[in-house]
Amino acid sequence: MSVKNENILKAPASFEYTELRAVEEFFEKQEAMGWQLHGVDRSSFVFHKAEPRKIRYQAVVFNSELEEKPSYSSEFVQMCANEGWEYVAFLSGGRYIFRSQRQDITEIMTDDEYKYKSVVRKVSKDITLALFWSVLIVLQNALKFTDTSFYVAIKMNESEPVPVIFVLVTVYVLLWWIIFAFDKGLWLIKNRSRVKNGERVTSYDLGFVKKKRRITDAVAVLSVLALIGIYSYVDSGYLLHGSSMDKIILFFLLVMFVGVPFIAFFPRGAQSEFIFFGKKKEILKRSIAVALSVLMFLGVFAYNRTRQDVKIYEEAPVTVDDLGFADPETYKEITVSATGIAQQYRCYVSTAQQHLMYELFVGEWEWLTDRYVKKVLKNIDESASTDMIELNGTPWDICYVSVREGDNSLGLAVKDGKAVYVIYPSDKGAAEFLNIAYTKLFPAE
Amino acid sequence: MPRKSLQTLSEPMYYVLLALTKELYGTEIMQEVKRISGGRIKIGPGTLYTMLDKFYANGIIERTNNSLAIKSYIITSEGKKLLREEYARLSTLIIDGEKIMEGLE
Repeated sequence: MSVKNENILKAPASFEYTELRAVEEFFEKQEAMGWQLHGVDRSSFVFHKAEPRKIRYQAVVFNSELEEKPSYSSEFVQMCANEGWEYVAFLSGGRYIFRSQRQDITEIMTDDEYKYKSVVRKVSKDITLALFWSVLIVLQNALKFTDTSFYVAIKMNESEPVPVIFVLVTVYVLLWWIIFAFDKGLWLIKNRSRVKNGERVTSYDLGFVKKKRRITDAVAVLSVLALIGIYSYVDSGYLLHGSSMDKIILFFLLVMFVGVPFIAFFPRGAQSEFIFFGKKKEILKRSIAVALSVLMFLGVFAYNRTRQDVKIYEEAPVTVDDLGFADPETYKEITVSATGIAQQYRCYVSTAQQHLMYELFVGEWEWLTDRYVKKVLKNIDESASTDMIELNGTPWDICYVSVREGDNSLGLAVKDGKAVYVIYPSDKGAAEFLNIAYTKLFPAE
Repeated sequence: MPRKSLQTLSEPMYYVLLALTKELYGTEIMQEVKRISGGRIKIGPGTLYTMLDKFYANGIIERTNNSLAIKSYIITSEGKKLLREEYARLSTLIIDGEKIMEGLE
């Protein structure tokens, strides 16, 4: 986004084929307020300050049947110009913007059947794509998550937490595409019937589109929130497992992290129907918002760091013999499920007869265990773990995480309220535990 | 061969083909249609261009100066045949209608 001066206004050049009337209304209102559409710069409509005037705009979709791809047609533009339509802009997909000062001018598309047909293929393509993504998400989940009990049934309790944010993201994305397809499908059906009955083809007006965009923004914010949750330290882990104070602080930081820039970048002033407005105070507002969100991010980062009581050793503080991994059959299998970018790990602390389930981004497993290890330690009930200790003949409890790095798997061993990372050959399992590859001790001594 | 969708011409299509019995370019076609129809039929440039595109793709009209940015068009023999058929169809409608209308009070 670039803002040149107070005499220039920019708005995203984004509208659907079903929103042609809305965009016309938007330009007409801008003209009435003294903002004349100058053209399209990259992906923005550029308006220049001018005298307010009453101008009629037409947004049309035109593609030659003789060309495979939509392209700018000078002949079409010239034909419109000869009829009094001033060409203003061309956007991808054969979308043209024209204007005229004459209110009684003949419309560019006088035949509603052609008007409908000019967009029907594009709208149908949008629907097909939306349905394709929806089906893909459903199939991916259906194929990958065979253990659907914990993916579908959200049980909000400490002993069996679920990846709430991951579930929400899937639901949002799915809902988003379904609503998108439904919206377009409804438009097609309604207008097909209008064309058959010889009525005018309608497109959504500005009022409707504005309402729709507010909902879109809300969905986008929720999705961003959820995605940040997955990629950052602020996710459902603390929100679900942390103390009340953890939950309050992290929720507040999370809301600020997303909310502040959103409020700053998406003001809805009277002069800015679609999105933003370029003035010095807006630049200041955005700068403050960016600074605040950076501070928020640093705050979250610092907060998480202070919550981790980890000491890093250059050499392992314990030996392989100390750990004494024994019969792997006594430990439950580690389940790993994955979809897209996220992986799900179920980490069993066998001696406490409890299991914890974690979600994390691939490659960040160390961070995961750093963050949760205290919780693991806290939940181990030594008095209840005598069977396991006797069976193994070792005082070590084992919590191992099935993460592979080449031929090796990484895990976590717990003893006397402390834990270390361990590594063992993946093909042999923990029974053939070879060495301590990682040198963090929890909590730090 | 004209596509099935062109077997019955819409009113604007009929007038455009009438206009194109002589060589014209886009704006002239719109003016000619207005003139022939006594100002009754108005065709927007978008509709006209889409229509010309369709006629051209189906061999109903041809371009007469492909090299220029502003192309002119004229009806082909296939187009004339289509126009005659449409004229005959419309004439039949009139003749049939007259039989009834004459006896109508």
